Amino acid sequence: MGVRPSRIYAFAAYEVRRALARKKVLAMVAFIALLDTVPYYILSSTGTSLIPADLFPYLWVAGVIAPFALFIQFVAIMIAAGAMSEEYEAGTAEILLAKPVSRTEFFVGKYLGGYLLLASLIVLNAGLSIIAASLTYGAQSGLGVVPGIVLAEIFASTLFFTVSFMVGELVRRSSLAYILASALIVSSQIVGTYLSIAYGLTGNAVYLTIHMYLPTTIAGSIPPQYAQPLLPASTARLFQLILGPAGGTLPEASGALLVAVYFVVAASVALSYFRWADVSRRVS
Amino acid sequence: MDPIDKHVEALTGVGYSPELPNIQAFLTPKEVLSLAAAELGLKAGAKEEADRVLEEVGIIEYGDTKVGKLSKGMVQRLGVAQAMLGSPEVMVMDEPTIGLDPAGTAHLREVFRKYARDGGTILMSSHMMTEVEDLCSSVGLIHSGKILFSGTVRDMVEQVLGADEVVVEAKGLRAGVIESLRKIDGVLGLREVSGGLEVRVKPGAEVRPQIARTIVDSGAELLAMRTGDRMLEKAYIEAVKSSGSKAE
Repeated sequence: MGVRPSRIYAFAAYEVRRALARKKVLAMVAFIALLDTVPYYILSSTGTSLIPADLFPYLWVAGVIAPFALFIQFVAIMIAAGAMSEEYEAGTAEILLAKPVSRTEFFVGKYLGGYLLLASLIVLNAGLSIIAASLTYGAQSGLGVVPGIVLAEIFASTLFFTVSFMVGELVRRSSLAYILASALIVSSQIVGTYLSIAYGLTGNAVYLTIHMYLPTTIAGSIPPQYAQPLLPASTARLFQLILGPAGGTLPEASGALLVAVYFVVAASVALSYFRWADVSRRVS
Repeated sequence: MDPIDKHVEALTGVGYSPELPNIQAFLTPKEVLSLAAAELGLKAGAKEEADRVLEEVGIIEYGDTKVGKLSKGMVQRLGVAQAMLGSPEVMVMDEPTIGLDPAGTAHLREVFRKYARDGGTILMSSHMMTEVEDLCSSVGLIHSGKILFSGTVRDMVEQVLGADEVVVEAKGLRAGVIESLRKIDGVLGLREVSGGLEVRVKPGAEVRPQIARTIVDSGAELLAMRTGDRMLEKAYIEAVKSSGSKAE
């Protein structure tokens, strides 16, 4: 029997509902709202003189892109790492899979539901940033690029989302899955910083090359790589501020290819394990 | 058909209610059933079907209450309701009445009887032998991974215990009467218990009229007579004992 879209849709809708019922995800939503609004109000009331006036119409870029490098990746982890593991911990997988549905339908539905939620939060992040920037710094320009940036972010977020989803399926313990997936992102970030410093000190291109292939660099560089050429040159300073110390970035196509490779490998491993492994009654 | 490889086909027409089901606490029973209906592919009439099974198991008034706020017994009933959704041909029930109060147990047993009367088959696992005796037309005894017996309740009692049992409640029984009872054709043995006797009789032998006559003729007072209760439990214990291990 083939995979039936109606079953996938049912599981996707269920996963969105399940994720939103968790306080962790709701806390993330609240944090996104704060992150996208409060800094603009603080800057506009205390530090506006520090920002060149010609950048005012493009300050939305900061809110749309800055949280993506790290914070949105953590949101992806929060949603994905628990998608499967929490079902095992709660023992709810048993009753869901005792119906005539295929494991692939369950897996794909859960994946898509979580991914849809993440995509919605990325859209929310962009929307709130633009509104906050408009209210505090006046009319914003270059907004035609936003849909493309949002799509680039949704695509790039696939990397950590899928890896976290896989970790959650393999370890079947949500806390352990969060820790492992977070460790990956944090260690990648720290190693990236060290490599940037090493490159700055030595000028050795090897450090830069390694830096380019780190998962945080791959995922984090795609949205700015897409956006920067489409915005005025003056915004380069803004991008420099957002992206931090100089590091290597892969060409856009290579970055996209690596995201796809991470997705295929992680999703295949997770699906193979899920189809093969027994579903226990409850993992305590 | 390999039920592992073709598990979607194997599970079609089968409802399953786990022991103490773990059901999503953030959903309401109606939402749980809506999800189950989507899994089954029920489209038209799914809401009515959900209401029907909630009504049957007796929790329709809690249809919009979060599962997290329901009692253990209500969750158990919901587990049965989701298994009954779509009127499957077979229901697999794991200790379906565990955690239920006596009224709830009686209610669900009646639901199961109705389902069976309507042509459904229930495959039930239970450690409550009285429940099995009350509900099941055939039983299988599995112990330490081995099938020790398979057949009807009556067959199991006969094969394992080798006798039926008649319980006699009487006053003023004298030694002579007991000896007379022992001599009745079909009586295999008897044992004095508080307030009367437990009489072991040949399977299928109808000795009750003779027992009654003998007691009444002796001048003793016959208060009641019935077939032995908890026979399946006795047979279970005996069968497990004979298999060389302790009952679990």
